[in-house]
Amino acid sequence: MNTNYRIIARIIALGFLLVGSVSVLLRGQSLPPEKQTIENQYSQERATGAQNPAPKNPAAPYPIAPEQPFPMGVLNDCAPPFSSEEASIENCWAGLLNGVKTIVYAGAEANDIDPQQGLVYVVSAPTYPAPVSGNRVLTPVKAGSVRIVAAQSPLLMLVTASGSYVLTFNINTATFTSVTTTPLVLVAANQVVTTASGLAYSRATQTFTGTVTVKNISGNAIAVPLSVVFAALTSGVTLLNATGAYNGNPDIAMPLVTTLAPGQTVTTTVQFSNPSNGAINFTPVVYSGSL
Amino acid sequence: MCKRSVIIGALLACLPWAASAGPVTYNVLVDTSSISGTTGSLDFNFNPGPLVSQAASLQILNFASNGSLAASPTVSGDVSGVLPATLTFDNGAGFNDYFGGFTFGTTLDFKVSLYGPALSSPDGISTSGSTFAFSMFSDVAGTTPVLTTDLINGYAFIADVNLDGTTATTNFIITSSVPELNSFVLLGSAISMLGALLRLSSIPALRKMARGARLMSS
Repeated sequence: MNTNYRIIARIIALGFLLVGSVSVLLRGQSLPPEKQTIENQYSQERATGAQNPAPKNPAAPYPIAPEQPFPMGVLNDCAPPFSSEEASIENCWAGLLNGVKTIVYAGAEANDIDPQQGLVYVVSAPTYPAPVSGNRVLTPVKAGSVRIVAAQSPLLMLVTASGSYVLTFNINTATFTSVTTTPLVLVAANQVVTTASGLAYSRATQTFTGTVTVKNISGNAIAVPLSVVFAALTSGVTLLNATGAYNGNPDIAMPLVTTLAPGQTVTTTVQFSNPSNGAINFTPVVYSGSL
Repeated sequence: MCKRSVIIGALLACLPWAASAGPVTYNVLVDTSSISGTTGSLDFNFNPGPLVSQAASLQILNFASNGSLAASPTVSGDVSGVLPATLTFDNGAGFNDYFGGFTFGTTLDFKVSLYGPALSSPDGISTSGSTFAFSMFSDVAGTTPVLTTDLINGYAFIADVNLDGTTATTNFIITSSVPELNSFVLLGSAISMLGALLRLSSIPALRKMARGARLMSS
């Protein structure tokens, strides 16, 4: 009797096993189409991977990515390392200060805080493992956002959004050293001579690069900020490193934070995009004061 | 005729400097051994400035390399000739460019000759100079600069014609040095010299001389 029960139990167990196996097989064949697509893709990737396995060399050195170039000068394209809820950044200056990579961001407090309060952030990034340090400095006048227009390290010249104030900032001491109001004056053609170098074409950036120089040929010092407006710039040509625009023409602030003395020259780099690769022309117009 | 030599390679790193007025020739020699075999490209351009430029011309002469030039270069503006023969540029158009494929060998050598009224007789009223730029790329499209410290614009060598007829050059070319080898050579030289000195000091005649010198001094 016992033997019969055992035989029956074994038959029932085999039946369950058979039914279970068949149902699993059937389920595998009847996957929903979207899941079946994914399954097929995985199978294909596994097969491809098996044919071309990754090299296994634990002793291989880690790949060293080349250090990215550190852009220097007054830059419009800045990626500030802080939230836009904290501050609104206009532009920045990047350079080496006593051999340390330093970036100064200029702008104002965020709209929700006090957009009339201008500010700068000074961020120093010494060589690793020395820590990155930062300093937040408010402008001594509340006249809206500030923008860097010229640099002569360690001094930066900034103007307020309205152009009413010109501020000088010392990066070394992280302090504003002067605040002035400078009227805008067109510098007469008999006071300055503006010249330019040839334009080297960069195939890598598809741009033309050269320099523009302003020389004071008058007997008097010319007040800063000093800007060159690129009037009648060839159609289709863009001044890529313009620091602003005046009367619809791009302008560039000359890197000068003190007066332009008689006989003195000041030079800045200019970079143009020129999709047609035709001749680039413009009429330089020099202004003293905030544009 | 003023001839200037700009040797660009492991021997000498050039700094910007100004040359006197008159026709000027620069010799550009690049050690390309570190990228030998790379299929890349070369670019030469000579352009006026955005204001008023006086006429100037430029020639690429004596182009020599154990690399190989690709056929059908792209030429724009006032440029004539095909490398390795002489190329002639003038600054009459806004963009004067010669761009061609090049498989790098171990060396690249050519001369840049600048001449014309802007150099020989500056008019004093022009307001723009002219600029020559040479670049090397590790791709045929000319997008990846190579052997230059100018990683942004990719210029390798620049020569400016100034308003007073002088010229000025800027060299961005990276020399392909192998410091380990140089160090070993120096170390080897030092060991050889040391060995030679020890051998010399073991020669009896020299020992006598040294003893004599000590006696005289005492």
